[in-house]
Amino acid sequence: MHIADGVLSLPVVGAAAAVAGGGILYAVKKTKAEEVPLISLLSGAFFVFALISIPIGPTTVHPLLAGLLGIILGMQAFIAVIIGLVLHVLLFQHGGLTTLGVNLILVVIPALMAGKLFYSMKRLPVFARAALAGGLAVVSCVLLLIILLLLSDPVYGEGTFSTINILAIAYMPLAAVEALLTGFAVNFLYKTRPELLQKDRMKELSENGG
Amino acid sequence: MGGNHTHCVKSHIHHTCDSWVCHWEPRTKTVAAVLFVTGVVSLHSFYLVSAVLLGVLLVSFSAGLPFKLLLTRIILAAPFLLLMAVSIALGGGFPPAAERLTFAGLVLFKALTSIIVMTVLLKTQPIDRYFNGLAHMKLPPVIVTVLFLAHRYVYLFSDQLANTQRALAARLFQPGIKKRSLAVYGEAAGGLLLKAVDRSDSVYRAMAARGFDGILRTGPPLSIRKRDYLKCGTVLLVTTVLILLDWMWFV
Repeated sequence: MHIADGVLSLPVVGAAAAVAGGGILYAVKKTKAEEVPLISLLSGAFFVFALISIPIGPTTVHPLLAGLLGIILGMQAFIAVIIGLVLHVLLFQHGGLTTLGVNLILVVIPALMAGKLFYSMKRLPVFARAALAGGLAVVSCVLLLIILLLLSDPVYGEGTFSTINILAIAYMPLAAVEALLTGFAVNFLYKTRPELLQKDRMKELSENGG
Repeated sequence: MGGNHTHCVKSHIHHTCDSWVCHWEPRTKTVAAVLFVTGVVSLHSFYLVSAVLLGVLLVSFSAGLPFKLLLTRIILAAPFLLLMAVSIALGGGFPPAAERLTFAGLVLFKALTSIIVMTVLLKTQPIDRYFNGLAHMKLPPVIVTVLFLAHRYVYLFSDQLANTQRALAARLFQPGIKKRSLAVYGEAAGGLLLKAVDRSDSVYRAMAARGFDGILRTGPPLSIRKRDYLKCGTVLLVTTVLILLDWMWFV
C-alpha cells in the first residue's frame, strides 16, 4: 500500500502513526541481535516481491504478499514492512512521509491476521489455508483502508463511482491473484523447507542459522 | 516480471548538484521536510495549497533538480493519484460539483507537493550520506541496522529477480493471471525467500566473526552548522505562516 500524503486527514494519520510506532517498538523489543540479518534479508526480499508486475488486461498489479509476510515473520513483520516502506520512499518516492504509519498498519494488521488464520486451520491442506490467508489479507487491507478514508472525509464514500466503490472493485481481482500466489509460494516452502512454516520459526531459524 | 521498477532500483543514483539544498545537513533537512509536509497536509485552502505547490516547484529548480527527474517521480505515483482525484471528482456523477472538484484538487496538489519535497530531500545528496544521517537521529539500533542491510539486499535480490525474469523468458513463460503463470510467480517468490533464509546463515556468521552485537556502527554524521539551523528554522517559519493563513481563511 502506498497511500500518498494529503489523502487522509491529519488526525487519522496521527492515530495510525501512534499505533504503528507502538507496534514497531514492541517488535524491536522482541528482536534479538541474531535475528537482525534474517529480518533484513526478508525485508529486502519482500521489497523485491512488490516489484513483480503481473499483467491483467491493459494494466499490471504488484503483489502485496501480506499473507506470506504474516505467515513467515509474525510480529517481526512490523520491522520488515516499515523498512520496506522507508526504502520505497527513499528509492522511488512512493507513499508519503506522514503516511508511513498508515501504510504500515494497512499491511501489518492484515498480515498478522493472515498469519493467525494460517496457523489456526491445521486441518486444511497447506495450499488451501495459505490461499485463504493471502486472500483475507488483501480483503482486510482494503476494508481497513475504507475505514480510514471514511474517517478522513465522508466524500470518499459518496456516489456510485466513489473512491471506496472503485477501490473495492479494483482490489477484487488482486485478492484472487494474491490468494493463489500465496498458496503456491507457501506450498513451495512447505515442500522444500517445512520448518519455515512452524510456530516460533523465527526463533528456531535464528538459533540454527544465524 | 520485474519490469521498470527493477531497472529503477538499479539506476538509483543521486543527482550531483552543488546548490544550497545539496549542502544542507541531512538530519535538519529531514526534520524540516517532515514538518513542512505535515503542515501542508493540515491545510484546507485550495488556493493556498496551489501556491505552496508552485513554491516547492521553484525550490526544487533552485535546488538544481532536473525537471525530468521530478516528472519521472510524479509519473510513478500518477495511477494512484489519478484514481483518487477522478473518483472524488466524478463520484457524485457528471458534471462534477464544484466542492468535489476543489477537494480532488486539494488532495492531488497536497500529494504532488509531498512528492516534490521528498524528491528534493532525497536526491540532493548521496543515499549513503543520507542513511548515515538517519542513523544518528536516535532511531532504535535494530531499525538502523535492518535499514542498512536491507538496502544492500534490495540490489542483490533485484539482480536475482532480473535473472529469474531472463530464465523464464528463455523458457517462453507467458506472464498473466492463468493458474499456471501464478504457480510460477508463487514458486519464484518462495525460491527468493528460501535464498534469503539460507543467506542469513552465512551473513550472521560473518557479522558475528567481526564482532556484531546487534548494533551497526556507522561513520560520524556531518556536523550541523548555523546555516543548517537557519534553513530548518526558515522552513518551520514558512510552515507556521501557512497554517496561520489557512486558519484565518477558514475561521
